Amino acid sequence: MEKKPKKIGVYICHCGGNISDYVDVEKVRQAVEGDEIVFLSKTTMFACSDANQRDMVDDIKANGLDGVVVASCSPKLHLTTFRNVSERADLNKYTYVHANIREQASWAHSDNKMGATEKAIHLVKAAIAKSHYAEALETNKIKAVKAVAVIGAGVAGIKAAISLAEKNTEVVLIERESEMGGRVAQWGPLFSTQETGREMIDRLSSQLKQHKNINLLTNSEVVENKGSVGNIALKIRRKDPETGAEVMTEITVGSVLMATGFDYYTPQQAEFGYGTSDKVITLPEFKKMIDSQTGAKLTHNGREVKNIAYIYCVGSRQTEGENTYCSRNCCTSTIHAAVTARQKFSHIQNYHFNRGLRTYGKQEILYADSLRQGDIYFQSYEDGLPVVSVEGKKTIVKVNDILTNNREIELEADLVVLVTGMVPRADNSVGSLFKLPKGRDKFYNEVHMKLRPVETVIDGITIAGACQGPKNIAESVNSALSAATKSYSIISKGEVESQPLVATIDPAKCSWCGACEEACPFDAILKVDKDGKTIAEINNTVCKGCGMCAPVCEPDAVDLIACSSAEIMSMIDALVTPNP
Amino acid sequence: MKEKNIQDNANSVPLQGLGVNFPLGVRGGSPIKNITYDALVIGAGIAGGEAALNLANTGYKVLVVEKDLSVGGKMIMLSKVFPTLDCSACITTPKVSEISRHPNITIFTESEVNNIHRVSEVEFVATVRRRPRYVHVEDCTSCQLCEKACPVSVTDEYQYGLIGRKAAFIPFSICSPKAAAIDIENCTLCGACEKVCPTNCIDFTMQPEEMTLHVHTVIVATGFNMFDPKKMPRYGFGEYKNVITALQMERELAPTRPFNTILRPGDGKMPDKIAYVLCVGSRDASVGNPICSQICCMYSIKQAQLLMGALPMADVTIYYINIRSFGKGFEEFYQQAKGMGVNFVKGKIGRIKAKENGNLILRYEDINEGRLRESEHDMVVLANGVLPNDEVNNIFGKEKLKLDQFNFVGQTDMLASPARTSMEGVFVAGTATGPMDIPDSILSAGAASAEAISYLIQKTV
Amino acid sequence: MNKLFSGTGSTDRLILPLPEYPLSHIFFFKSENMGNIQTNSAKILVFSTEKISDPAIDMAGLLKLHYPPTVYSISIPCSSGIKPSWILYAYEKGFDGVFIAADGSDCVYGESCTEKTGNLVGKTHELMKSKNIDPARLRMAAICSVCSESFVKQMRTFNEYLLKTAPNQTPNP
Repeated sequence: MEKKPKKIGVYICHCGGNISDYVDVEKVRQAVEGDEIVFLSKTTMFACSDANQRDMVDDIKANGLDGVVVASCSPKLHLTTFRNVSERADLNKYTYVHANIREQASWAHSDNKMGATEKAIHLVKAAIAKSHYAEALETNKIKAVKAVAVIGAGVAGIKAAISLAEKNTEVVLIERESEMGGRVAQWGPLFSTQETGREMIDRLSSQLKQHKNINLLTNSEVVENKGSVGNIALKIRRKDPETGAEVMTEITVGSVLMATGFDYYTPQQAEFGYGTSDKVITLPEFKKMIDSQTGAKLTHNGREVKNIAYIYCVGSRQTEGENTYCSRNCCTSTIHAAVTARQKFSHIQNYHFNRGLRTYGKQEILYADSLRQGDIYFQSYEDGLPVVSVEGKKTIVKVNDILTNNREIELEADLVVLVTGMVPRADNSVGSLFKLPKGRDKFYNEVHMKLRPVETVIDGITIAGACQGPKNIAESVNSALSAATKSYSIISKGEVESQPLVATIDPAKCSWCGACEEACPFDAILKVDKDGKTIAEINNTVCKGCGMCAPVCEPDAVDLIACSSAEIMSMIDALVTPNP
Repeated sequence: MKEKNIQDNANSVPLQGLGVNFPLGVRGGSPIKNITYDALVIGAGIAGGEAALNLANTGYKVLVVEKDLSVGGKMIMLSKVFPTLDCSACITTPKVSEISRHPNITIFTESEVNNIHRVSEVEFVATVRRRPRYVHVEDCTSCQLCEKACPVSVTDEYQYGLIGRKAAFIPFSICSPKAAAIDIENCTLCGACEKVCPTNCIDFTMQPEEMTLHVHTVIVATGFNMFDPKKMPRYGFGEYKNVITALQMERELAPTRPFNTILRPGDGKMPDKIAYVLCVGSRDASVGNPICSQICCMYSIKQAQLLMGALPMADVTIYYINIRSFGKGFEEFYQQAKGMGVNFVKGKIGRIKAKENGNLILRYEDINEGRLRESEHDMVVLANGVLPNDEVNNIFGKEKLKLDQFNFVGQTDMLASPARTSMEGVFVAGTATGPMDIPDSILSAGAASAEAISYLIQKTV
Repeated sequence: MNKLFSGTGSTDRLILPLPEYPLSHIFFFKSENMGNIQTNSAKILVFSTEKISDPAIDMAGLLKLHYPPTVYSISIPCSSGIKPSWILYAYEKGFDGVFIAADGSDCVYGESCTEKTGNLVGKTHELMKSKNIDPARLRMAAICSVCSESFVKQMRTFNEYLLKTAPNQTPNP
């Protein structure tokens, strides 16, 4: 890596105030304007705005700049934005260098404005130091397989598969169970439609079967994942349901769409009487019960059920447990089940022990209906949750109801329904296979909730439905179709760009010892004879640029492009040199 | 460039050398006829923009029609977004920028679509009317000299009436296209702007244009309206200056904010006891809107957190019926606000009265204590709800789009295909179907574009 | 009198009062409360990873979880690609401590990352001993993509340790 004479532009973003409220951006600009390669330096209100992007293009072209540094937010948000700006100004996008002075300076040190400013100066100087070495790199185009693997054939997976198939894409739909349909197939009447869950799934599966380019693999699990975006090789283990024999299938796809769904929360022993009273069941159990019973009276364990107590937020919005999140659809789901039950078994009375109802949007109408029908609602805060106790044969629910001035309410319930929320799948084997990161709630995490809501940090892997967080059917379908669009856009052009940030070997220093070959997890190191000397060579199309080969090389012959020793050391220099 | 005809442009989008997709203000331009786009997206807010980008990135030619002077919709005007507190402009402007320069996208701002009608199985004809902006966008450098020269001051609708603007004006600082416009309603035709304009881009001879266009598929992303709190006189909006709407507060908090601080409009005092009134015009059958607006709890909690940051000494109280923090990270965000010291009071506000000093007395039922109470605040923010945008009705010709019982665009297969409407080939995205937050709007736009792409692949060659 | 510009640097925005608006109330400038630079924080170089620990460090900022501003991170693809020579160079140039925000078992490049990162830390510790550098000035912890709090805690305790022990701790300018 050589340090070359350069002429770059530096842009320091106010981010409307997100940066400039804590970092003196003008001071940062002044601190770097004297650098030998900085030809121009500017501050800007919003570096990412259209107007500024256009200014940057003009600046680059008018002044013949050969590199740009933008100091703004995290590169996760706008690295691509500014690489594209460089490209529009006919610069190679890898000449662009980013400095993160928002998440890692202004926000992290909003308690210390001078400290934040000093740090921002150092970070921008380090970026400029890196810019010295940033070279034009050619991207390799890799042929992308025009096929997508959809994992999980619940409603999200089915809809994604159909949508992809309609776009003339080969789909492999992989389902662990013996049938598709997931959770929805087990549900009876659905809110806001005349269909049952089963009927909806049947309708969708008959649509699915019309598409010859969908290959449905049931009783199947992905057990191995190799390759990268465009060429992902999966090994699938398929169990024959009759003989129990296992068959391994190998497929290659361009993208993988994860739609692995959720688990229901299982209450702890004795949590709201679960396991201690036989009258306490969970919401999914209750839904099955009302769907399956046909008599005039609702019964449980042979006894007639009149009073039903619904206890909300079991396993969600926990103040002590790990599940601090709201499970989003259980309020509506419970009220819908209660209304359905009452319509079917007119003698029952519903009592809802809730923590503030969240029937958002049009679902509010359902809540109004249930009130009209005579359902009774009691509310408490997190510090006054209902108590379920067993007294002889009776199961009693007690709460201090805040809607009636904290009056103590006591109800003898024939049935207590625990409204259990959605939790991430306990079996995360397929997630770990793809190294999918999880959020604070342990569901799979998207790159950015608004900018890239169905993509993951793993290139080529999209996520859909409730594996990303609690969702109702329509929301799951929206996310499934979005993910299908994204997966489709990855592969539809027939090729993907491989990133050129790979390892390099200095043939002068290398005298083949094999340490790098051993360290490489991707078999990207080749043993070659060159000019009468055996040395290592990098297979650029296989190398993923992790750098594992670099530290193990005794003669220090390996460097990673964009993370070479020279670059890292020059950044260290910039970070320690005191600001004037 | 001025002589360049729109027709060329529609074929070879965008205007060469300009790099932007706003082929407007053509001098002597002729109306376009018989130009076919693959998709027409109505509305250039976040949902319309996202849908257009998805289609364009797949290789389809997209026409985006926006009635406003700028693309970006309501989102571009917001301060920060919940629950991540990312700045809204940082998310919107790059998308806007991408839409504006995408080679497959053509945008008509200050334009309206009407009389969309089906002419064959896979073809609609739409009439697009473009109002004159009286400024040639491609020549405007947004130098603001016209703004300074213009003698007419009027209320600035882009700042929701908090401040004034001129009749020759740039809509707002991060608008796109970034170009001036003449507000002809208020203009006195004094010619001052024309005289100072260094590029001679102001042109009072511009005429309305009407274009007839052919499209294969339509995505309706017409967004929502906010409930007008003047319809609830007991809250005193319009009568008491220190009662403002949430969008006005949004502007006071935004990075491009008008005052550089938070102040109450009545006298410019910095408020230190601020009240939020939730469910204004939502969950209220008496004003004709029985449904929940889905976003007001969260935007109020967000504003409360931002206010605590901007005015560390201020008290912020949120009067609510139920707090609906249901989305990913929302409940944690609500708990965070409680932890910061935002007061949450369960109670519906009955009436607001002003005192002589501009402070406001809120009369409410305190649910926890079960009695009527009064409290004094020096500023009140009304968290007004989401209403359907009834302009959807004007867009279609004989065959109308079916609406649901709340007058949002009807979803004929709401659970299995949420983007489908009563018309084949017409899809719906974002808040046109009902209240939703930004992530949900973006996902809904993803679904609409997925359906539109499938439709184009299946139905057209 | 109308040529008023707003203060936050939205320099291109011309602000006009409403006709009836009292002008004197248009502008307020919050008194800027400049915090004092902490002279007592150690210089820490963090090697973070693009896909795993960087998001955690970014989220620490987003959540305004504060840590010393003399913590700087250099982002690399994977923690098992750090050369011991870089770490030694950092001490030589004046960093008090080096922290490896490792991928741990979440590494997108495979499970071997944990072991390999461990190996390079072991190797660096040996080199540090031979150069008489306190091995405790190099720390490593797995920082998952949402481990913001754990990152901040690590930075605070490491900072305290370094302030107490680092021999060449020099006050910041």
